[in-house]
Amino acid sequence: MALLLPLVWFGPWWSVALAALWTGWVSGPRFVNALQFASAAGVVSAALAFIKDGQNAGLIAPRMSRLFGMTYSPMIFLIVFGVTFVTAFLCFRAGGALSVLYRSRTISEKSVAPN
Amino acid sequence: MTRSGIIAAVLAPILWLLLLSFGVGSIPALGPMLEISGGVWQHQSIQLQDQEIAGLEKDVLVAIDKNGVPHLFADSAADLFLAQGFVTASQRLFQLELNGRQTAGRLTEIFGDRALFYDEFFTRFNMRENARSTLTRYSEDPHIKTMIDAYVAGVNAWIDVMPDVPPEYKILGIYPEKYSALKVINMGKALTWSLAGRSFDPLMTTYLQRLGAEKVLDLFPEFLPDKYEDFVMPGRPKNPHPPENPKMFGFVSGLTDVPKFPLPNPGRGSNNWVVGPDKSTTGTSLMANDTHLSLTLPNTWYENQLSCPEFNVYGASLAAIPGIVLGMNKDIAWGVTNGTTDVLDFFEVEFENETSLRYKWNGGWEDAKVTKEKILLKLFGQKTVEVIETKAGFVLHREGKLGLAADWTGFRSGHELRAVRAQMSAQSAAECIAGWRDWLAPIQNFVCVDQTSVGWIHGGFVPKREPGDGRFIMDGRGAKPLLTTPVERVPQSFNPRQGYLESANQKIAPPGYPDYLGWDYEPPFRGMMIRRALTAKPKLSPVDMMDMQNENFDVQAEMILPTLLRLAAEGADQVWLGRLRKWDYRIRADQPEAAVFKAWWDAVKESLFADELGEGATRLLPKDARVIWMLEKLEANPGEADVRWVDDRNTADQVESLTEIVSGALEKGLKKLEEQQGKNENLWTWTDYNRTQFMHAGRLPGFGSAVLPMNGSTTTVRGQGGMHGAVYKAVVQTGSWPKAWMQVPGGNEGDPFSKNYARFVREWSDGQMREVEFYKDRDEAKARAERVIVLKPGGPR
Repeated sequence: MALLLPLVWFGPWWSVALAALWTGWVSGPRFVNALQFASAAGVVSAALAFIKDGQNAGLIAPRMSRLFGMTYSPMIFLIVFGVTFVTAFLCFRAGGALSVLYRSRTISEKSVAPN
Repeated sequence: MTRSGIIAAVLAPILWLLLLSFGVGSIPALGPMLEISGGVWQHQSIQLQDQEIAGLEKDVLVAIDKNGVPHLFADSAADLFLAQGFVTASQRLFQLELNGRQTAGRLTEIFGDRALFYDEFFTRFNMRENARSTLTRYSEDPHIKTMIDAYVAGVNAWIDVMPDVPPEYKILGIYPEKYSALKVINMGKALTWSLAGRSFDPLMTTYLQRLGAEKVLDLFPEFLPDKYEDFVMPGRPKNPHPPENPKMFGFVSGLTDVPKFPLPNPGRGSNNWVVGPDKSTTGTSLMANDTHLSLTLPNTWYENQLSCPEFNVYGASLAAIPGIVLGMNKDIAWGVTNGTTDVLDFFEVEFENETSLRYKWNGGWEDAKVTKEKILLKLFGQKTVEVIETKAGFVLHREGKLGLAADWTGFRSGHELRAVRAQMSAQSAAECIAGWRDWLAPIQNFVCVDQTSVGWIHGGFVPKREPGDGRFIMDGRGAKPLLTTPVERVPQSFNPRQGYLESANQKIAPPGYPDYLGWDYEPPFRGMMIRRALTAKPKLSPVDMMDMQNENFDVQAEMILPTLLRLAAEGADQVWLGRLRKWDYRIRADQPEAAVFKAWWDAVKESLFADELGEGATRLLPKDARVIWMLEKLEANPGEADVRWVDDRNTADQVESLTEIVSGALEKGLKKLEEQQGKNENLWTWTDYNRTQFMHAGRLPGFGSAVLPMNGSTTTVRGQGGMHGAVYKAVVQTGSWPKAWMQVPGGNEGDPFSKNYARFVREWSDGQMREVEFYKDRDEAKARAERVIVLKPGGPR
């Protein structure tokens, strides 16, 4: 979470995707890990959106919520959470899958290498 | 992990990221939009500071008063308009973006396919070339060229230095495009279209095909008896033109499948009136004006003061156009209502065959001029649109060998900006009236006052027509020249004996006026009420003028409701008949009577005419005053000729009486209200029936206002309905230095995330006005303004 905070605060929106991809690559495609990472990213994004909205006297959330057809202002933070969660989850899983693919290729190459 | 699992795990985020990057259909690009570091959350409220601007020659003082209105003081007109462009763009950049694109057919680029219908129409209607030729004409006048170029430079200077883009850009995933002189013209064209693009010719042609000319003229006459009319022009001229008669309409178009075009909504409520010094408690002339347009946030108008050695003027500008269009200077005040006179004509063109571009003209064949214009789509690609020009107009629709061409006075270039500039420095009402000679379109009822005089002119290109011209789709196989010659006598009046003048989009000239001006104007009720209030007191004060603007007495209800109540005395809902009998015809936001009356009245008209007029009846029923006259005649004499409209032709086995129709309509109206507002009649309100609310200029959901509780309807002086209403209100008292009260709902701020967005909307809905601060000079501005900043020469070029 500590790493995600500056990433989300300063980075472009796709930086979460890159971070998730890399983390997935490192830690493998475990479903629980992906869930944990995506939840953390979603919470961080929603919390930072909430802070930004507060810095703007809370005027952004009501309009953005209604833009999405929701009358209850905080729902926009749920959308931010959801978008970030799905992004992080999918990219984490992709990173994990790629690492599995890479490792299996490496092992098979080693197994057929001449002694 | 299986191979297919790996492929799915890799593909899924790619698709998801593409979706977030570009959006799909109505789903916007959520990735960049919701980004914390640069999306909508990264928002900077703009507060102008001292600033260097490229192109300025000398310092420009910008004094911002407590209402957020900027007062600009410059040493030259060029510096002034540059500063106006800069300051306006700092608050209204996205609106400028929209205004510059609408009639240029460039909305699809930012809104996607949902705007393609409009873009194709305006492109086919040759609005692009029209704007280019108008710019060429405007540029012939060096003062106007300077005015436009300076304003454009100011807008672009803001784009160069702005710290952040407005939120709408982030939501739509676009970046501000450089402003241009053509965009200034495009805004003028958009407004011209919204005010002068009114036409029912294709629909009336459908009625002509269905009913014949005699019946159509009966339902939609040019004039009614005096009791049902109000005219802008005072007096009674005695040189009438020949009346329309069915024999004039031998040609009936064979076009039967004309699509709906994006024609603007009919105007529904602008008012202006002036009283001379003899009728004013102040001893000097007074002017009141409320202009009605779509209720948008931000407002179409931008309130400001412009001062330079040539003029010092306060009022409302159109965001996107330099100068002040409505307002006052130290000597005069002026205001407008839409003139409403028909200036859009349709013609049936005959081509050689279904695909040919050769069309019949005066017995021979001519080649249509075809140009190809491209409409850029939002993400990728473009669409090519053929602009087909014939001598009868631009072809908007083809049906077999026949085509529908349209011609419009908006295609002819006037010098509208020169007319606006003339007002800014005019020193008398006479000079003001004369200044509108350069104005061509849209036709407006301009009123002008100075301390001792009042004047009105139906200003613009008023086409000379024969009776009946422009009522239906006309024969375009050698069309007689229409919309090319103006009338010799533009309707106008100066210091009339009655001491006042008023206009409310109603008919211009009474029977007896020599020129035929058309049949299609707004109902007379607002004009009747204004005239009644103007004559009720020997003298009027500015407060009386403001009270009149808030008048919610419905003359329409006063005229027809007693008749309806008598006709429906039996067999209808007695509770509501009782309540309506006690109603005082005042339309109040929190009461249901007005809603029940309007729903009833709409149902009466629908029941009487939908069977004859068919599908189009939902778009144009006979005018209210015509139906009131009919019901009064039939009540007095049930066998009167109008009885032919009473029976419902859809019920072949029975003949309905007028009483049955009127009683049944009340039930229909009550049912409609029940469906709209629920079964509990005690909770019904006019507010929920009329549903007045502001929408965002770019139609973004949630960026408008809630439904506002407001007195008044489209037939009262205080008029609004749905998303249409008085977007500018002003009362001016002339004098050695004028006093004025105005209201521009929404205020100047266009940033939806600013606390000043939608400012004054509540005050406006409550009917309040603000006394404006009109400063004599820089010293007064510095002393009285809330904040003063200086725009200095310099900055990046």
